[in-house]
Amino acid sequence: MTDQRCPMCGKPSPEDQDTCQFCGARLKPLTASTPVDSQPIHPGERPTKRDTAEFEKVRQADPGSIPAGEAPTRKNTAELEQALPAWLRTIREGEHANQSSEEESPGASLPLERKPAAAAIPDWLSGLNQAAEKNEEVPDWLSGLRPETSDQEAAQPVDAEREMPNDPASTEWMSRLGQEVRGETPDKKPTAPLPSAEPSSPGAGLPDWMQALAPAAQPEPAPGGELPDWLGASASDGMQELEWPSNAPEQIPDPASASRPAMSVPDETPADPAAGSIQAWLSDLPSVPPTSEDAPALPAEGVPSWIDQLRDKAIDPRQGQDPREADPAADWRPPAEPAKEPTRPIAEAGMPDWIAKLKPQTGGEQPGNAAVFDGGQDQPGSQAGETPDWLSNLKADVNAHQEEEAGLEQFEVAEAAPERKETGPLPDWLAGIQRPAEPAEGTPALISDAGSEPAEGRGAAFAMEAPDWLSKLKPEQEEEAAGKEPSEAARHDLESAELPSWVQAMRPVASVMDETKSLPQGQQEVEQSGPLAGLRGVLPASPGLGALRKPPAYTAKLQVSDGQQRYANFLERLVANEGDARNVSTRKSESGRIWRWAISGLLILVLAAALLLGGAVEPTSLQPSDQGAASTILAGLPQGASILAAFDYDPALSGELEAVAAPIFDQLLSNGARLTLVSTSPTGPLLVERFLKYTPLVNVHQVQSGIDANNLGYLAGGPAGIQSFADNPRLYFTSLKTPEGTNVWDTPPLAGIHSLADFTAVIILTDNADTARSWIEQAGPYLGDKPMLLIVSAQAEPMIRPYFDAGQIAGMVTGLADAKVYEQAYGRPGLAQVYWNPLSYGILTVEVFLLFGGMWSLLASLRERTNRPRKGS
Amino acid sequence: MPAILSLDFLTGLFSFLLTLMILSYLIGDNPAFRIAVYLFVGVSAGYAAVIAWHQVLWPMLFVPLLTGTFGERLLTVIPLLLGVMLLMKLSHHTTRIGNVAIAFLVGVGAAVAVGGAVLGTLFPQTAAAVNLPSLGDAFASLGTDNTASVRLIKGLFILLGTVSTLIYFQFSAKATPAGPRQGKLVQIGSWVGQVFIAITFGVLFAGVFVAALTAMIERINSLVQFTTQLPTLF
Repeated sequence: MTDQRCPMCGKPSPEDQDTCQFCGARLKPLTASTPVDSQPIHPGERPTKRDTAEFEKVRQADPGSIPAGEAPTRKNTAELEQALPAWLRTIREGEHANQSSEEESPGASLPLERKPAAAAIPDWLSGLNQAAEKNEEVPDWLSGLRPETSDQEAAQPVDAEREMPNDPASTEWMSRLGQEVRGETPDKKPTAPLPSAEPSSPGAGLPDWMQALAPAAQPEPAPGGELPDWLGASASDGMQELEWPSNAPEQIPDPASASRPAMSVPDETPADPAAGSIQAWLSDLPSVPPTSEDAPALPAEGVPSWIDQLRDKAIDPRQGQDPREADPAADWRPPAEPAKEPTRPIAEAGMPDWIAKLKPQTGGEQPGNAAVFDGGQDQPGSQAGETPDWLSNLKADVNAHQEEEAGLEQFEVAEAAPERKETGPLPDWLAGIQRPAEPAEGTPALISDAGSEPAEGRGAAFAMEAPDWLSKLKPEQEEEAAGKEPSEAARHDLESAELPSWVQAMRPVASVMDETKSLPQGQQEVEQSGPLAGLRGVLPASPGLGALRKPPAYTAKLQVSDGQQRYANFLERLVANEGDARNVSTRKSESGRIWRWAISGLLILVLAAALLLGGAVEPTSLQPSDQGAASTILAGLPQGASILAAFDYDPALSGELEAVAAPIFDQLLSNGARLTLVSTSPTGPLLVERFLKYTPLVNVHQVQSGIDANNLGYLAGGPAGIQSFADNPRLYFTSLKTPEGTNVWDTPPLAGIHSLADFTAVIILTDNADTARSWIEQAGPYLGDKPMLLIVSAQAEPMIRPYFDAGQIAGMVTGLADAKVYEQAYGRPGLAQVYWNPLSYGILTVEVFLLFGGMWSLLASLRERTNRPRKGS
Repeated sequence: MPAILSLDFLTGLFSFLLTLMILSYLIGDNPAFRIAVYLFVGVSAGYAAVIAWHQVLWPMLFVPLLTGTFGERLLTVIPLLLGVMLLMKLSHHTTRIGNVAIAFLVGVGAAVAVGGAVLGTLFPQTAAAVNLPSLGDAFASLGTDNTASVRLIKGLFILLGTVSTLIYFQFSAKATPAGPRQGKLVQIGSWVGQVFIAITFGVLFAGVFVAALTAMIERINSLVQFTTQLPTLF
């Protein structure tokens, strides 16, 4: 059993359930039993053009049901009948009538040519044959015509053409109809537009008189030869009195065969015939003689031949056989039910017999179509007198004819449908009729009440205006309907029905159920946002706005390329690792330490050896760096000259400067010069004391403080102090006293000294070029023409040379070399002589090291250069 | 007094030990070296502090302030005040008070430095650089008194060195498809400047080395002399 989808949650549920097993929503509408995928037509709405492929959706849950608009299976000609255009139907009806007339009893001589049964017989009668042979249950719409009398209707003969009211109240119109029929002109065409179908509930939306005619599960036995007067009168006139279409076939088939296809009414078509058309054909209908015992016979003399044919067909021995089995070519027809019981005449008081006979009969499976006029079927449970004999006979005839006629002309249309489908001349809606018999969900043609069995609706009413669906009504189907829930049968029929668009347009507005979920489940949009998210078929908030949507979420992510992202990541890692302490490799360079030890050890050894061994010092041929300018100046100093000497060097290089300054100061002291000693370094005064006391060549003079030299001490202020001292030396050292307590300015070294220019010469001893520059820059302008001599270390000589070259200083004594020269010149060896040999050996050693290291580096670079291409290759 | 206990010996011994401690740095950083360094720094700082007090603060600030005339006292108030303000820099809360003294010091120092640099270096050096002898005098002095020629050559050499060195430190280049490139003349001048710079650095290194070697010789000589005189002490 196929499942049906819940319109709310979309989950599948068994088809036999009314409510969803997951969410509890109702699966079957109360007002109409249209399937979920049915598409109701709203007032003023234009019918939608549907693809015939949708016919596949027509499901046939019950093989006995005949859903209207079903894919033209060969089993259900009633459905095809509905789908066929009117002109085609008339043709088929005419053919069917002609064939039936050949086989049936002589009494079945229809006055009118109904060879193309589909064209001659009105639509509502065209499917009578089918309905008689069908084993399907009465369509829901038909069974729903009389939902409260489902059992009664099931016993009624299945009315393939129309649903006959069963209650006395509904017989009034029938009686009126009979009267009108007698007075109708034969020119009127019996054709009537097919009403809209409601397959789910056979009786839903139908008038009361239609609802009373519930399709019968079994074709009711044809009533025994009782026809209403009006029908009998018309039968005596023959079929010629009947107004058939102009293209009516020559031969009018027997009623059973003619009505079977021609009166095949889809289940969806509700029995709502037009009164005018009903009147027309009723007036022309001959009386239908009763057939066999199963089918109540109709009076032969007053029954048109086609009716007789219908009756004969109803008692066809193949009643119990599925017309689909008997007629393989008739696959398009709805599945025929077993042999139907002849319809029983309507025996209710006040109701015409033929109407009463049209009541659906209860019972088991009945073969053939559930034709309304299935007179050949016996309905045990049907109400007696509910269906006229002629009608039941018609039904039986229809069933019988359908069973034996495998390639009836009335089925040509149906048979041709697949051909047309293959070749393509037929429209899509017709081409799709030959789709597989497995019905899919489709738009039900008939909206019937929930719970109404298709079999119940069949045969319940005699719908003059809806021949196709009426043909589906079979007496045997009523029995099935009786055993089923009405909603189930109606649901089966109505759910599987698929209406063409032109049929939908004819559906009455009232019959359209308020089914909001009319779209197929798959076609309905699922709500994406809002509180109804996930639901299907939700009405839009307002027309034209469509579904609510969330505003587009723009990503805030920066759009960067891969390369930019890599750079950003690299930068991020750098910043993150900035605060991380790096593990510095503590591995010492072993080779560097060894080389340092080696070099230092060797150098110390050389120097020590040179110092220990001594040796003769070769006289130097070098010239002083200043070309003897300092010596000249020194030589020109008078006796007792006041010399200002600034000791501005660091204790680290005191050994060099002491060695360099010793011969100069020896010369000066030898000439009786009075020294004024000052220092801009805090350690200067101490170095002055050391120089005067411990330096060879100087210490021999035993300089006395206050007599030979005055140590002014520390000259604070840096350049500013120099400039201040140079401007007014006395002011700077105002209260300076000697260790004896005497004012230094009163001592002989500083006697008559008021400014810097009062000094005979200024000698600057420094190892720093900046200090020398400061003295030169600050004190130089205050000297006048007094010479300034610089005794500098070898490291400061390159920076001070420009001043000597510029004439800002009178002379320079640089390093140990000049000291040796001066010692040699003065003939007084000093430290320079002592240090000269070690110095020479030391320089020689370092030169060897430099040479060796340079050559090693050169060879290494050459080797690396040669090896590089080799590694690369 | 035994000679071994003489101050000279102790001084010599102490000097000998400290020298060895300093020379121990050859084997790496060690506590002996650190002790010697710390001693040197400490003694230097202490001696400097004593000198600053005895030779600057006391005689130049407090003595005039205490025993000087009114004028002398008035004059010493200003440096005293500035000194106190400079001491305010020690505290975070009063540091802004010492900004005045700092500003005075910076201002005076800058003035002296700039004036001396301009008047004592820039102008004389420039004058000495441009005061080249004429070509005629230079050629005339050739063979006799090479002073002018030598000076001229020296001047040209100095000019070449100066210009080439400045060109070497010119890092601007012209943008070309192959990359930034300098002109040919600039490249040649840069190369010459590199030569002069390299020679200058070499001379400076040599001077430093000689000075350091001389100092080392002096220390080794001291060690040797102490070692040789040590047996005589006992």
